[in-house]
Amino acid sequence: MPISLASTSASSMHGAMVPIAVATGSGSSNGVTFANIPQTYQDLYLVCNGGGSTTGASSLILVTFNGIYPNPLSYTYLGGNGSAATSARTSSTDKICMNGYGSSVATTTNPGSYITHILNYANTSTYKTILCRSAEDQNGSGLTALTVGLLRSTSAITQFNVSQVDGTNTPTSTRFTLYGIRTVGQ
Amino acid sequence: MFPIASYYVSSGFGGDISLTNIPQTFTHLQLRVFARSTYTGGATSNYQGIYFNGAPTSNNYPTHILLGDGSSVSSSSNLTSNQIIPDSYSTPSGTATANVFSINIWDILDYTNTNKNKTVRVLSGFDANGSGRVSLGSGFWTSTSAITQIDVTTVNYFAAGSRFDLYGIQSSPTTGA
Repeated sequence: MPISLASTSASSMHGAMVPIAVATGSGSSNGVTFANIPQTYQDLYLVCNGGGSTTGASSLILVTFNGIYPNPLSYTYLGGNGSAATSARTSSTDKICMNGYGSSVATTTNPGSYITHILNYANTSTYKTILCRSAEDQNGSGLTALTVGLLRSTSAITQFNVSQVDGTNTPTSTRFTLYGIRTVGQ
Repeated sequence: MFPIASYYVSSGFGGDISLTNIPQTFTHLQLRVFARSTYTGGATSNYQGIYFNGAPTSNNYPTHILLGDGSSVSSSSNLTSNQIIPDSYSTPSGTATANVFSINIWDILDYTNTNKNKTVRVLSGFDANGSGRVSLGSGFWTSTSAITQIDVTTVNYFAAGSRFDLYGIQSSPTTGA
């Protein structure tokens, strides 16, 4: 489901954190695509609440930054499942799992929370570093993680997609809010 | 959350980044750093630290960290530092993969309070497609002074392209939240 952001802009009525798009899962396997992202902010801040898929547990992933293929991404995570902590890495891949692990315990009725920082997204001379915090608790089981990802591209980020790791459908109960973070003078 | 100050390194910078005369009108501060150092004499990553009010005093900035390096998890502390450096390798150096920068998001709570010491949280990480690290760190400043200045440090200089954006976070005048 493409969400065009071309008409949004910052206003002095907002603080640094400006809401620029809200979306819910469409029930399709295409997830949500944020397109035409305004280049007028310092950082992007994506908030997701939801998880699972229409067919079961499935991790949310960040994919298709600017439509770049193949394998422009990599990520490293630090996670805990209530009994053990772990850290692992995936290199040269086409996705960043927002909870690091890749598998998820979130469901449509017991959702997970995912906060993603994309710093310096409009810069055209550096690769892009992405930091995600995730929390999935099921009252007896759960996962929490901090994940850092890299997009090996110096192009400004103008679009990306959030969908499910296994290609299943993003449930309509999953909610996405994308903010721009203004800095001084923006 | 309101922008207070921003600094962009357009070329290798010859010293610490000093954010001075910080307004005392907010409840909390958040410093968002996108950085890389110019140092080429050692490891592929170096520390990033902060200290307050121009006072890098030994033993005044204890830290703790939970760290993942892609293959193992560790936790450690440093009780003798002269600045808050939870991770000694949180920022790519001049020998790291080109164009890779770290994220360090520092949260500094109740920074104007003069009745208690100050506590800091930092989320840090970088990935270099085959290497990298990610961490949750804490720091402490043994001082009841209000914070009016933050200095950000690394080994050698911060590289061109590094950014430092300071924000103030307000309390609600209605609920105090």
